[in-house]
Order: sequence, then C-alpha cells, then structure tokens
Amino acid sequence: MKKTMYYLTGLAAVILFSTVWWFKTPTAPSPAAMPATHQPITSSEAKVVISATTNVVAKNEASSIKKGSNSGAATSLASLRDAYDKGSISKGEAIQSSLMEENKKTLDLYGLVVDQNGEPVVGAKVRGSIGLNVNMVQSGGELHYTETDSQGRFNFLGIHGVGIGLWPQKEGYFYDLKLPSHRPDNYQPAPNNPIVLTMWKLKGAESMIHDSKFYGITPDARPYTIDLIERKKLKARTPVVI
Amino acid sequence: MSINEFQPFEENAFYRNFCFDINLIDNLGFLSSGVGSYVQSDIDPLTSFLDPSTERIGYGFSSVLSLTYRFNTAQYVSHTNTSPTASLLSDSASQWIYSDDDAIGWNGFAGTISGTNTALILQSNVRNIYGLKILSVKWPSRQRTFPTITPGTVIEDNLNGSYFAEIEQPTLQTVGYFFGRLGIDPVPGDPTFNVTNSTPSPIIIPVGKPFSLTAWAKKAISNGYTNKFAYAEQYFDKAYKIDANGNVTTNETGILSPYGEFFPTEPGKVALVTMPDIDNTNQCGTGVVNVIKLQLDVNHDGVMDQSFAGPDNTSADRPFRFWANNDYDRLHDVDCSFGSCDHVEDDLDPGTDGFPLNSLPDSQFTDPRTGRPAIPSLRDLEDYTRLWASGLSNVMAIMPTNYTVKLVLTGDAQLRIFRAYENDGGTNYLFDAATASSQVAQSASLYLGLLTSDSSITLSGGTNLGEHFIFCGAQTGSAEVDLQILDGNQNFVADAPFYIEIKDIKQMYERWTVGDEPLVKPAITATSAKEGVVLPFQYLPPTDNNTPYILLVHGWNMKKWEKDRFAEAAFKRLYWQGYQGRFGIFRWPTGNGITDTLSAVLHARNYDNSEFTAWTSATGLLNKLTELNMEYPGNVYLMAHSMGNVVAGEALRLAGTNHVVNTYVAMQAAVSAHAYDPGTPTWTSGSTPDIYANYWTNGAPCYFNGVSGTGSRADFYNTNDFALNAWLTDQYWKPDHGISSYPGYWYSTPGTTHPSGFYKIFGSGANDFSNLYFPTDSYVILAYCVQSRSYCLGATASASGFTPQDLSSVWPGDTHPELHGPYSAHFWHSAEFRANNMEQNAYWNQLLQTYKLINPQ
Repeated sequence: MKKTMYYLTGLAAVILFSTVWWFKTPTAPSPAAMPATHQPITSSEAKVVISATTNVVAKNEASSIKKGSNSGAATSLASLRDAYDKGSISKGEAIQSSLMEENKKTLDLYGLVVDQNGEPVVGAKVRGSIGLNVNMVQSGGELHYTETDSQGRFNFLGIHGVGIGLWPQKEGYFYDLKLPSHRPDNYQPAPNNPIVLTMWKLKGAESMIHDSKFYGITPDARPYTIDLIERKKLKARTPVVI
Repeated sequence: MSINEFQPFEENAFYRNFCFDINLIDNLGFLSSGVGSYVQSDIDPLTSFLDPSTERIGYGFSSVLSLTYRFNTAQYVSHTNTSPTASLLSDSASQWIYSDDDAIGWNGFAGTISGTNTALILQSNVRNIYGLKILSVKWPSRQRTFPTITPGTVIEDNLNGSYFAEIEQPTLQTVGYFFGRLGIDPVPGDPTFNVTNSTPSPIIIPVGKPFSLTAWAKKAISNGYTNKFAYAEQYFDKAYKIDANGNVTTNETGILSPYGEFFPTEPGKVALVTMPDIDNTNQCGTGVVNVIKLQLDVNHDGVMDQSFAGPDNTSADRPFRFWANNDYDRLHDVDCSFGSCDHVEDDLDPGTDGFPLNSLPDSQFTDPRTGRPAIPSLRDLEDYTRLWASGLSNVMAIMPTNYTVKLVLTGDAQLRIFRAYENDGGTNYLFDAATASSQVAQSASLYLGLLTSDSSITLSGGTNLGEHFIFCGAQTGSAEVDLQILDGNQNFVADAPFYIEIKDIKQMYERWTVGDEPLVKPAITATSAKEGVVLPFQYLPPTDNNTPYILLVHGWNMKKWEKDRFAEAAFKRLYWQGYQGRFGIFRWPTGNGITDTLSAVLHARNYDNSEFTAWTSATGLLNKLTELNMEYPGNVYLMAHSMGNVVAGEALRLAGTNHVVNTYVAMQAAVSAHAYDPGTPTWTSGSTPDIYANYWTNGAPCYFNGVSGTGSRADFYNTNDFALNAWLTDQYWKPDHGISSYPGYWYSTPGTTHPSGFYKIFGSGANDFSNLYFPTDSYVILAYCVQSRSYCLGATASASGFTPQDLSSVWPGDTHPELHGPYSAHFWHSAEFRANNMEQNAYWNQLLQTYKLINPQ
C-alpha cells in the first residue's frame, strides 16, 4: 500500500509537471536533460554550415552526456535517480520525467537561406519542425514558421524542445530534404553565426553568368546596360553598386 | 476451313490436263487426259475444277484418280527426293487450252457460211469474258490432226471432238491487294465475292489464338476489260510490328506461315506482308491485323511481358492470384501531443484509435465529398495491380461506331477498376509519390466501375478510356475476365480473357505463433494462426530447391492484428519489389496496449516484461527456423524488427553451429550493440556491470559471441531513431526497482549476500529477496536488471559482424518533426511497415539486395 501511494503521488507529480511545462513555455535556456541525446558544445566557428560532418560531431558529443556531466541536466537526473532509488517514484515516472526534461532544451537559432550561387533567398518561408518527447511510445512536434528577410536571414527564438529541423520553401526554388537541415546540438545561437541552408534556384539550367549586368557605351556616347540573365537591353544604365 | 498448302501444285497438275497435247487425244477427238465434256455436264465446272482433291466427278472430267496429270500429295510428302517439282504450265505447254466454246465464256464461232450449215467461221476480235482476244483455235478435223485456225478461218461444222483455244496472254498490273479471313470473308472465287470488295477492317484477333488470312493481288487486265480483274493468291512472307505512328518496323512478331496461318504472340498492330511478287517487280502486299490482349504483371516483376509464352500469362489452371483490398489504408493523426499531430498513412483497425467501427474497407471507399468510388490513400495503391487492354487503342480508333467493347466477368470474384493515371500504364503509381498522388486525387474521375458477374464495364461509346488500368480485388473468389468486342449485331468480333483468383491476404502467407497473449509463457513450437481464416494457410512443399523463405519477427507493443498488418505490409512491399519467394511471420506474445502517456507511465514494466518474453520466445523461433531450413535448405532469410531482434538473436545463439538462417537482417534492432560488439560506442557508465559486453564475468566475451546460426548479418540502423532513444531511457532506469509492483530488481556489488550482485525482492521484509544467477536467470537479469552501456544495435553504425545499412540513405527527406535530427520522429521506428510504398520501397529493395535475392540497382 505504501508503495502504491508513493507511486500515485509520483505519477500525479509527473503528469502535473509535464502539463505545466507544456503550457508554460520556458523563458530561459534550460539545461540539457538526462538522458538527453544532445549537449551544446563550444564552437569557435563564426558560421555554422549544417553538414553531415557537423551532425556527427554533435552525435559524438551527445554520447558524452549519456555518461553524465556537470550540467544542470545531470543535477536533475541525479534528483530523479535519488528519488527512484529511494522508492519515491516508479520506473514509469522516472522514464516520463526524463523524457520531459529533454523537451526543455532551448532551440534558439539564427539562419540564412542562400541559393546555389550564394545569393540570399528573400521571402522564403522557413518551417521549424520542433521534435518533442511525449512518452516512451510517442514523439510529438510543433511547427513554427517564419520568413527570410531582404538578406535571406531568419531566426527562431524562445523555442524549446528536443530538437528542430528546418525546411525552407519558396516558389521557384528546391530544397533537398536529404541535406542536413537539423539544428546542430553544438550550435551557438548568434546573429553572426547563422545556420546556412542552401536552396536550388529552379530556372532552367544553372546560369553560367553570375555578374548579371553588362555596361557599355554606344558610338554616340550614350551609356547602356544589358541584363545578361534576362537577355534584355535596359533603357537606362543602372547604377553600379560598389 | 483448313488450308491446303498443296493446292497450287494440285491445281497446276489438274489444269495441265486441259492443255492441248496431241498425245492425249483419243480416237473420237476428245481429250483423254481425264477431262472432257461428255461426263456429267450438269455439274458446275468452276466449283469442281477448283477443288480437285475432292475426287468428285465434275464437269469435263471423269475422276481425279484417272487424270493424266495429278499431283500425288501422299507420294510427295513421303518421298525422300527434295528436288523441286517440275513445271507443268509453261507458255508452250499451255498455249492451247481446252475450251468448250461457251464453257469458259467465249463464243468465237459464228453461224454458217454462205447459207450452208457445214462450216463455221472463227470470228475476228472475239474476246473471252476477261476481254482477252482469241488468237487461234485447234479444232478436231476429220483427220484428228487438230489444225490451228486463226480468226477469219472457216472450219467444218458438226465435228466431234475437243476444241482448244489460244487466248491472248493477259497483261496484268497489280492495283491492290485484298485480304480476307479464311472461312469468314468471301474471297476471290467465292460466288459472293465481288471485285468491289475491300479488305475488312479492323481485323481483330487475340494473342494466342491461331488465325488464317488469305492474300490476293488484285490485278487489272490491261489488254482486257476494265471491270474484270484477276486475283492471284499470294504467299505470306513475314509478320512485322507496326509502331505507334503506323509505320511498319523491321521487328518481326508472331508466327506466320507462307499460307497465311498466323499465331499472334504479342499485342499490337501487325503487318502481314506477302512474299515479293516475281511477276510484278517484287511488289508485296501488307495486311494489317490488330492483336489484342488483356495483360497482367503476373510475376510482379514490374514488366508486362506480353509474349505468348512469357510468365505473365494466365489460364484457368494457372490464374493470377492477388489479394483482396479488404484493409483500411488511411491517412490519420498520430503521435498527437499538446494540440498538434503527426500525420501518417497506416492500415487501420475499425473501432480502434478513433477509426469508426463501421468503416468500409478500401475496396468500398467513396470520396466523402462526392460520394463517388475513390482510392482513399497513397498507401492503398499497394493493393492495386495493373491491367492493360493491349492493342485496344488501335482498335478503338478504327472500329465502326456501332461496335461495343466491354469487360465481362464470369465467376464469383469482383474487381474494382480505375483508369491508370500514367499514360503508359507504368508502375510509378507504386513508387513515385507525385504520380501516386495524382492517381489518388483523380481517382473518382478515373473510376471505371465494379466488375462483377452481374455487371460488365463498357469501354466504348464515350471518351477514349485508353488501355491502361489498375484494379483491386473487391471480393474474394475466382473469375474469368474477358475483353469482348462485339459488332453492331452484338456478334463476337474478338475476345481476350484472363483468369484471376482473389484471395484474402491471410491465405497468401504463413502466420506462425508461439502465443499472442501477453505474459503467457510462449510455446516452444509455433503453430499456424487461425484467426480471420477458416483454414490456416500453409504453403505446399516447394518444388524448387532454390525457393527462398523470408520470416519476419515483429517487435514490442503489438496487438495481434497489428502484427498481421505489419506482416502484410512487408508481404505486399516485397511483392512489389518482385520478390518471388515465400513469406511468413513469427508471432510471439509481446505486451501491448501502451498507447499514451498514462499507459506508458502506469505500465512501464510492459517493456521489460516483453523483453523477458522475447528472450523466452527464442526457443520457439529456433524450432520454426529449423523446420523451415529443412524445407527450404539454405534459403531461409530472417528479418526482425525492434525488440524482435531479442527473439531472433537469441534463437540464432541457441542454434549453436547449426546454420538455420542464410541471412539475418536486424531492422532498427532494440538490443544492446555490446551484446554483439563490445567495441561500439558507450553512452553511459552504467550502474550495473556491462553484462552484454562481458557475459557474464569480467573479461568474458560478449553475449552473442560466436553466434553462427546465420550465414551473414546486416544491421539496418538509424542513429536518430526515437524508440531506440527511448530504449536508452529504459535502460538507464534499470534495474527496475518495482516501485509499483513486486517483484523489484536490484543490483549491488557481488558478495556473500548477493553472489552475482543481481537479486529480486518480493516483499518489504529484509529477507524478502531471492538471488539471481547466471546462466539460470540470465533472461530475467537481461530483461529487468542489466543496463546496456552501448546504444541499441539499431542505432549503431558499426557493429562488428554486421553489414551496416544506414537507413537515412534509403529513406526520402524527412518532413516529420525532428527530435535528434532527421528520422527521429516516432514514425520512423516502424516506417518500413507504415506510410506508403512510394516512401518505403527503397527500404525493401535494399532488404532484398542484402539478402542477395535481387541484384543491386
């Protein structure tokens, strides 16, 4: 009977904890939870370009978390462990709490969308697909959307979860979802450290001309401009941006 | 009516008897070759002349057997002499031909001369019925010398004997060809044939049905009447395919005899070309026939083999077997949490998870917006197979408007038929998401009908429906499906059938079970599952020693129906990969019912309990594998999903050195990687010894060390797998202290009280415990006590002894929520059984490649 009471109390606590957590978005970065798969690592890179290599690094770092660290997650884990070993919570409650802890991870990120030529993609809709633990047999998710600005930049701030995948979409562009598009675990969010996503501009064959303007002067000394991509002679010479 | 290939020779010999030969004139001045005008003149000479082989007594001749010239067919075919037969009707030999003056349509002798009746004059410019001039006549003089007279010459009248006329040689010019179906169409020589007749069109014949065509060169007689034509029957040379543009290709098809007997072996337009006419600058005639066929991909290799002897033909004794579309493939919300859901196509169970109990199966699905029959999901397309009415478009384009084309079914099966979205009737509806989406989105408008014995489907009379369709089984049973083409009087023009048997899919693969009730001890011998069928299905013994058998072992948290649905998805997707072997599922009594947070928290031990059951189910699996390996020696392939790899791995360990499995594929395996390879990465230092890596003492090899029950092993892994990450969490909280229920499991440093360190408590008293020992209690210790220091095998890229297969390389881009990177949503843990074939076909293709049952693409 005593054990049963412990159990029910613990269960109620877990459910209450989970519910409160979910409906109240944490405002401050939360420590990685146990058994979090991912842990932020220090990066000296000025710009994080998502790549398979980066992901591997992240994964390897994540494995170290499983061994225990001095992070807040470990503290939380230790508390759970202590409660578990003392018989205060059941294994079910311990598992559930562990999974919920993982959901607290701050996923702030800054991003940049460019095309295959490195040109910024303006007005691209970016889907942020946050993954969440629900319980041992269910994952969950939240979809967040934003749009790139005139420099192709976007950000997701104040969001939490286990992880987030990114998917830029824009008419006339293709984004290969097989490319790494997940926020690396070692990512350090900063405006000057954007996650770069490369889209493919769909406009016939890839242009061989990247300098789109040709500037000339006619025999009678009138300046003219030819748009090499549009293959049009422009009426007036457009200013050269240095 | 049969063809007599000796007819030209027989007729040549026969007609030779009519040629003038002074040696064949009897005393009375008549021909003695057997022909003459004194016998049975009441018989039509045309019909009797044309068929000398009948040996009838006809006009002008007494008996075939008494003819001077007779082609002895029997002697010819039995003779060993291969020399060509001699020419009989040379110009010189046939210069004068027996001509009773009115018998062949000329009347060249006119009246009397100078008022007497004793003389006749051969008139000038007399022509026969073809308009050819009479050049001269041999007549029976009183001396029987048969002098030659020319027009204007007078001869005696009232003489007995035969007359022989020399007719002007016709100048023939081929102006066209006439083709007629033997025994169907009037042909030259038939009383009902008219020179205005043209070749009937369209000529439609089905593949595999012998057919005879006659060919005639229609020749104008330049020096005769313009309304008279000669028809020279032609030999055939070759049958060529006609391409989509109507051009005759150089590709031969079918089997064609020189006599016009054609055996069509594939559908399409065919040009039956006559042999070059040596009398007319080698001109050839071309008769076009339209060959039709109802084509299926019987061997599901993706190729519609339209050949007559190919593997995709059916017969009443060898029907095409396909499964009924009686499941519920629908897009539904999954993994709902906090107001949002993931969306996945699954095979649902009415009355479960919010899917209405009264839901209709997919074969009866109607679009809720329009009420029209439709295809409910992309996933449902794996229950559809292709049907081509090959050659039908050609026919529809040229057939008379009063013709009818319809599909008619005889039998008790029922088929639901849609037009194929793909113009070429290809297989993209199974493998390409965009094509499949269009097929589904437009299914209501592409719906053709439900084909039953009471309801045929008419294909003619409206929009051109093409000739490519897809269909599913709407009711089990057997049937003959016939494509029928009827003329305006509803008479058969042609038909093409196929034979089919629609079966419940549970009658197409084997379901072996050692029990399905959770927590009930598994049997050591698997039996055939009985639910859902009248008689459990078992294959007949294989007739081919190389027949492969793939056995699936399912994972945790599966209800009985879910186990079957996963198996059926695997069966279908292997089928569409062209897998030609056999398939079965091994069911074991996993726990289930963990569907939400409450059940997951309340029944957290469900997982460990099931793992214990998994370990103990291995004996039953080994026994089944041993049996299968006796029946399919060396050709048993094992695949296990998730926790099913505990069952599979242990069965192969128990097999010792017995090679019961050819290749074992661990699919997203929920078993410690250290059990196979202690060198794989660790994720925790653990609070229990690494028993998997060192079983069971320090320094000992890993648990599955030296397992040789399989020839080779492959690890289909996903490093981001959600369930296998949750598995780590479960491992972390081992031993399961049993807070909610006894027994509880604990570990302490080995010593006198607890020799192995592992023990279980069954009460709150100090002595309410019992120690656990290796190897007696190994399954208990592994299931409830030991933490895995490593990741799951199914999340590990480099486990020794396994050929790694990174699943992210075979899956499409991930659009589901991402937890630990791509493919980390819960869906992906069982994705190969879920979603649809378009998304998952690469997985199954890779599986068969790993088994070496198909070649790498």
